[in-house]
Amino acid sequence: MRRFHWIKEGLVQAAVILSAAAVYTLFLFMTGDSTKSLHDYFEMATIYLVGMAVIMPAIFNIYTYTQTVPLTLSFGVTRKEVWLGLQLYRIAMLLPVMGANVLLFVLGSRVDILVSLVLTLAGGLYFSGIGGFSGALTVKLGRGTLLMIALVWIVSLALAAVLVVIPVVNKKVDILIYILPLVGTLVYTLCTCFEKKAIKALCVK
Amino acid sequence: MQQKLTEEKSIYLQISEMLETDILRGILLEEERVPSTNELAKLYTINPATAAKGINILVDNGILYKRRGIGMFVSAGAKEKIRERRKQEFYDRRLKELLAEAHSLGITRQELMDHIEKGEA
Amino acid sequence: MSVLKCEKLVKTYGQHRVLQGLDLTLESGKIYGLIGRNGAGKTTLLSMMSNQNPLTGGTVTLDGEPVWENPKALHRICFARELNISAESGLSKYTVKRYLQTAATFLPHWDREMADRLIRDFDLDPKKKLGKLSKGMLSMLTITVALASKAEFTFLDEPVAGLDVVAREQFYKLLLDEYTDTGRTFVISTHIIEEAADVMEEVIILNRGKILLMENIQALTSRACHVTGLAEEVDRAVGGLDCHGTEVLGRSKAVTVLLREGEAVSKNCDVTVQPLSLQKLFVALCQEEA
Repeated sequence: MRRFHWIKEGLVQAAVILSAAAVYTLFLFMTGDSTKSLHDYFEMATIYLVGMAVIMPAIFNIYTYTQTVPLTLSFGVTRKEVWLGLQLYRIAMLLPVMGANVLLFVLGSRVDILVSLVLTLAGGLYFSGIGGFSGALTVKLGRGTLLMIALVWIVSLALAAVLVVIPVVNKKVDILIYILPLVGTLVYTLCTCFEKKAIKALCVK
Repeated sequence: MQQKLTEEKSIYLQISEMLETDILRGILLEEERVPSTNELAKLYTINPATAAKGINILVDNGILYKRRGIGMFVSAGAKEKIRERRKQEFYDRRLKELLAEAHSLGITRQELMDHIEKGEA
Repeated sequence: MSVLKCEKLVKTYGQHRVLQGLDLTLESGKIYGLIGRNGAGKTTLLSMMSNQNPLTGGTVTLDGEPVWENPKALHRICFARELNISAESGLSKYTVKRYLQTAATFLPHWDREMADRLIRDFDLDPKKKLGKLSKGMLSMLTITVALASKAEFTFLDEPVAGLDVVAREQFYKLLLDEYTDTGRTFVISTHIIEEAADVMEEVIILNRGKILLMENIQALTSRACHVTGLAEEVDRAVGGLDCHGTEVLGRSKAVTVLLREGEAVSKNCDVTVQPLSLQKLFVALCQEEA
């Protein structure tokens, strides 16, 4: 029952991501020219979905530290359970999005299914990690750390950009499929370890 | 039991005194059940332990007795006991204080007696 | 009977030591009042006893088992704290309903019916966002969580802050109803000492990170008195007794005395001896600056 709470929160955020991508695509569909085929729109939807799946978890995960984490701790949940709950939350957020990508591929999107899944998963993990890390950082260091957070973001975005752009420029897109999940998982693991320590030291105010 | 609690005296003392006054006034009759500590606590918005302390004083003085599983009851002869004790307290305290104050104000015994004769009977 | 014990509890925030090696033993089945000046460490103490605040030093145990990160112990404890919903706080967007649903999810003994009834009695709109609630309404929400949690050990941090006197009376009645029905242990921190004195059984006075005093309130107030008169007479009357809060005005002197076992104010002195309320005693004890 309690575990479902975290999964539910993740599913809600997944719904937000899916809706955002759907709305955006619909908007383009309404305003677009008739030369575009349905496949084109599915392709765009996939791209937006991947984009949203990558960016939005970051934001949601920062929010967990102003909302969910202190709230559940205040109800006597152990820090260990909170940390585990966050993992469930993130998986629950990413899986539906990956599912939607598969659906779009089946419906005719020409974006390579492996690429879209890898980007979603890797990007989702990467930015969930960064989001969680910066959220935990604000808790650990206090509010006047906006500069530090901005720095974290600039560095991680730069790194992400470099990791994606270089293989693309060198036409070695296929290695993306190996590098990105690795980097995503590594970054996520490091961030979530930091989060574990931060949550342990957290003072509920 | 309708009196309000004041701040000048310990609450548990006030509880026991109020129960005694009710017994004197015939609001609570001998062999009748008195309110339980929980009922008193809720009635006066006080802690049950405090109410219990007040009741225990009366049990110790033989004014109330306990019937297991049912509650606290007014003992036979409680009314007389209370009246006797309060009479004694009246002499020991109130009267002594009165005389002391009269003395410090320079009122003579005769003046006092005259006032008592004349006064509200 | 269960025992919640704090031993040599220390809490340091940076350079500031809030709790200084505090020892406290709480027996189940009582209503405790926790009083102390602002900054004495009341909230810190309550949050350290409920896993909300990591310990810098010392231990907190429930029936011998540590409370820290221990689900078994934590399922018996609930800390309902003052909700400070600022505009930036993520909770300001939560509705009353959602907040209570989260409470219901995580508090193992949650009484849904009681929560619904209290919300109705308090006239709280379930659809209203926490950020839009007044201080009084937030207090009522906190009280709802505390009572409906049905936790064996329930801590409330200033539950009546922001409540008018009628609402406060309502709270005390609810508290006593619940206490007489269930015998749950409550620890309630408050600044409204006189009202607390009637409803609590024992008082814990926290001063500068240490327990100054912990005693049955009726017993404590019976051994406290206020002695006034000519300064020399007062000195004669209270010689050797535990005196606090001495005040001098012209030739007169006023002293608060805490009598120990077997002690009494000297009878043959021309002084006025009056009983003392818990609040006045507290002020006399805690206003003494180092």
